Amino acid sequence: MVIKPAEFPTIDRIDLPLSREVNPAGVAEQPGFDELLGRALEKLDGTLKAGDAAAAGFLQGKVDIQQMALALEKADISLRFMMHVRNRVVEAYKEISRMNI
Amino acid sequence: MADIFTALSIASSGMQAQRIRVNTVASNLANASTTRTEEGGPYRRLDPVFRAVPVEESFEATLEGMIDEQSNKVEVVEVSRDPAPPRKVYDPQHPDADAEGYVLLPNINVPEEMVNMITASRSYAACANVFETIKQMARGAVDLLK
Repeated sequence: MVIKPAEFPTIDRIDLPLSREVNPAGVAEQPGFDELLGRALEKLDGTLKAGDAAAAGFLQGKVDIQQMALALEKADISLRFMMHVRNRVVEAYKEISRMNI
Repeated sequence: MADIFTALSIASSGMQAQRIRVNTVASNLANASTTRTEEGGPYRRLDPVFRAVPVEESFEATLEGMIDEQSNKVEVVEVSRDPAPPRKVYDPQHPDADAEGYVLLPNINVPEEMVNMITASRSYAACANVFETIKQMARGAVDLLK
């Protein structure tokens, strides 16, 4: 009696989603997270500098008090927001670094 | 795009406009009996003219037609001179009296100016309150991320 060996389908290549081409032709390039964060930080820096300039201008009598209040408030809210974003990022990083592999 | 800063800048423009109005009231009250001016003749009442202007935050927003048409800033376009004729008061001792003894005094009604001052001050306070409220709203939203 002859026993036939079992036949398995052969797998050439495992096609995991991660190994696929990230940017196939025709899809617009999405900015990465670091780029987005960098842009946001640049914008925040601009807002903070505008707040500084408004405060200095007010002391020199060049800027109205309500314009200064507006610039400082923008800077304050933006900075608070960015602080929260930073906290979130750091938290996420810590979470990943604590992960057991 | 109309973000939370749009409301802040609208409130700020309101405060600025009311501050200019208080300035004109102060000028009118201080000159309530001024008979000589650079243009000649008695002082004439100042009156600020307000205009609503659409909020334009950035060029991109304008380009994309994303201006919030529902909200307008306020702007003082000009400070006009009240065309009402000056008051004529009989006071022959006054150095600016004419041949008949009449002096031309500014067309300013002091109680009316006081009312304008209170209106401007209250409007300023209202705008400041709006500013404060928006500030609290924005902080509330940001604190949700905690």
